[in-house]
Amino acid sequence: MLNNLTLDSAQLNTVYIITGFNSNLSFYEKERLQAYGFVAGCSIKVIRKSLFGNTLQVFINNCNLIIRKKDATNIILKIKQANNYA
Amino acid sequence: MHKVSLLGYPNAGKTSIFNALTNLNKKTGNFAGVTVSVASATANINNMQIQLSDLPGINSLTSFANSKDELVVGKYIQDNPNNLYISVVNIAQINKHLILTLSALAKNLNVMLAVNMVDTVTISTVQLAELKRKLSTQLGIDVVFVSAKTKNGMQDFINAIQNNLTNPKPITQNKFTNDIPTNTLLVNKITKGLSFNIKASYLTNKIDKLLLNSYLSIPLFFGVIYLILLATMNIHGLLSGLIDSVAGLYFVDLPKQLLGYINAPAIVTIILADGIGGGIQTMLTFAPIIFTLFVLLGLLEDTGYSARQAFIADEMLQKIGLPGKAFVSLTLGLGCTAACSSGCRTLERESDRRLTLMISPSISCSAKLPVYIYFCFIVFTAHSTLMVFLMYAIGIIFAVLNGLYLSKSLFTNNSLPFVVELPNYRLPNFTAVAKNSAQKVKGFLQNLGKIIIPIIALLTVLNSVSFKGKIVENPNQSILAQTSSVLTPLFIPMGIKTENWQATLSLITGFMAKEVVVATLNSVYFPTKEESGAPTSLNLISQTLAMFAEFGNSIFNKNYNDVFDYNGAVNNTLSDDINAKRQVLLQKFAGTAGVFAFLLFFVIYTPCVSAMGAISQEIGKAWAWLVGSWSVFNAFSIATMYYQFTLSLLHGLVATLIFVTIYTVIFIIFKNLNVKYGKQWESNFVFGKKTNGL
Repeated sequence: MLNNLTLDSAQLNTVYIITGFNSNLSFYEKERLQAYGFVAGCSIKVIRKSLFGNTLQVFINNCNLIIRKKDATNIILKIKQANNYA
Repeated sequence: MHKVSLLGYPNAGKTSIFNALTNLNKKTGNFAGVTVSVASATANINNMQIQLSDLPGINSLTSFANSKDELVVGKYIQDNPNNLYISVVNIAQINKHLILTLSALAKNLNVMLAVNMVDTVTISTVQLAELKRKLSTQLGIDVVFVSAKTKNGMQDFINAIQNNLTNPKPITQNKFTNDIPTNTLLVNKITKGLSFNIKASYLTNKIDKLLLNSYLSIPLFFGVIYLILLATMNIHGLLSGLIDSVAGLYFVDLPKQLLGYINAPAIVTIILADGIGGGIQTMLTFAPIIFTLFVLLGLLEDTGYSARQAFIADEMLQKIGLPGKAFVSLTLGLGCTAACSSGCRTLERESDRRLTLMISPSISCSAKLPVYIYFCFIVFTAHSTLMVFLMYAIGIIFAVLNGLYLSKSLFTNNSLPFVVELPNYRLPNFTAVAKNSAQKVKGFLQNLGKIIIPIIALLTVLNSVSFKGKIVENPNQSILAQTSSVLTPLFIPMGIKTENWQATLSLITGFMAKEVVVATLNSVYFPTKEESGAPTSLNLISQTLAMFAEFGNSIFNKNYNDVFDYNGAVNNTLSDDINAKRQVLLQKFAGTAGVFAFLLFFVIYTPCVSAMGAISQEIGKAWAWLVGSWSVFNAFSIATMYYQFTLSLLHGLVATLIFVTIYTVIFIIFKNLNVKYGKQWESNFVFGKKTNGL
């Protein structure tokens, strides 16, 4: 079952696929996120969130990155598979 | 000479390769943003001399260069289009790093590919060979696999560089695009079927479960900061006395005696011995503290924990409009505000750098510590440890409040996507960290010396001569004292009495160098006979040996139970008669309230002139002036409001009302300036063309 949702509301340790970005995002902001590896079609997994949930640690392209919740709201996902944390 | 440049993402290992090829010890780190400028050196490639350049790590070569690093690299490429660019990629993140390689090819640069850190993954040789074949075929460039750390593959790498320089491959124009999604598809096609295990991942995940635990991370984080401070202060306490004595002997007493032998004019002795020699003595005494801080912060960075600190700190810093990366700069400010300025270079937005530096003055640098200890130990003896910690805490709290105020007024709220890489943990390289810290301290002292020594020499002269140009016996009649007396009434609202011009003098000298404050106060409040004349006789060797013997005694006889007690940190400059000194200070400063108000001012007011110089280099003179004047105003307002409240509630409320009104007016002015000029201040550079920001 495929669901569209944003990265900030993704469940921990669930693998998603990036499908796109918020349409309100400027070309420049989108390009910056892509430069960091957030590209449509890539797999992504949220590893943990900070104490108040404002910062997320994600695993993408064999790399652990941290991203702010407000930036994560601009990244649209769909579920790939559930509970597959290795 | 052939020119070769190393290009790649942060943490790809470019500097390690640079060091391996040039046999240098340039600083590497386990945190993105370590290399902040282009370093060049000569390297020998199979008896061929080349000029090798290590470019800062960047995330993108696309249309906008927003960080200083990308600006530096973009400009470098524009100025050097014919270089051989070695695109260094980390094999563990090859899918992401190859994007930059494709961007470089899209710019029709002469590129070869170095796949680095092969030792960090477990991968079969068959897969490696297949990957190499696909990369060579699809990209049309030479590909080598190398490990800068273990030196595997270095000879093949060197041979490939030589081959590319002597027989450069023809560049296929316009074969590649700069579009990231398109490049991602191509990279995914190349790496399809590639599988490997990253060796450090399992351990990193386990450690992160503890260090980044939602509830444990913040206490652990502050615990680490506390331990760093504790170690720094104890080492300072152990070494400062020895260095102060030895430096005083060789740079002050010895020149005085030599100049006395040749009957040099008194003013020459003052300038050379007390001024320049005293300046060197002052500077050297805080070398241990700077070195210790750089070593400890360097070790933290090398392990990979610094990036985790950014994760933990970001939760707090984003509330005041700063990225988590700024935490590293602010932490460096605990050592030296000038180091904080240098650290800001890794922040992408100009406004982030400005905001970080505008709140940095109240982050207590290491040079402020002797002043805190001086006052807290003498005046608040029973609670000196707590009071010193309170000074640090006040500085940090004020920095947060200041940041909130400025992020809502002077600086825009729009911010770039905040993304930071968390590298895998690794064992720190103690030797490299120590060497790099020593180089840093050396460079720091050299730069600082050029500013501090002449200024201290000038101050010493101004403190020794009157307006009539004559050398004075009584320091009260010196130019500096007279000037301080004129300025002192300005500080009456914060509890400095008119006759306490010495406090004003110490604030002026504190602007020159914070650590001079203790020497200034000691010399004007508690003058000693030894300070007024040249030493009668010197026996350098025996005196030096005696100083080291005393130091050795202090090490072996030290009560290590008091290592957690800040009282044990610095006692060397204080005499036994603490009670007498306390009475003098309390009388001069109108009680403990006056002393505390003075300390509040000291915590918050402008950094030293060296730090201001570094700030000016980083964000420009106009902004540096704003940093200085804003911090002095803040210091005065906080100290005054506090002191007035200690006089009476009415006094306090009136003072608060006045300052709240002033702050409100300033808020409106800042806000209007931001609306009018904010976008102009935030300028992005398209290569060769300046554009406005978002």
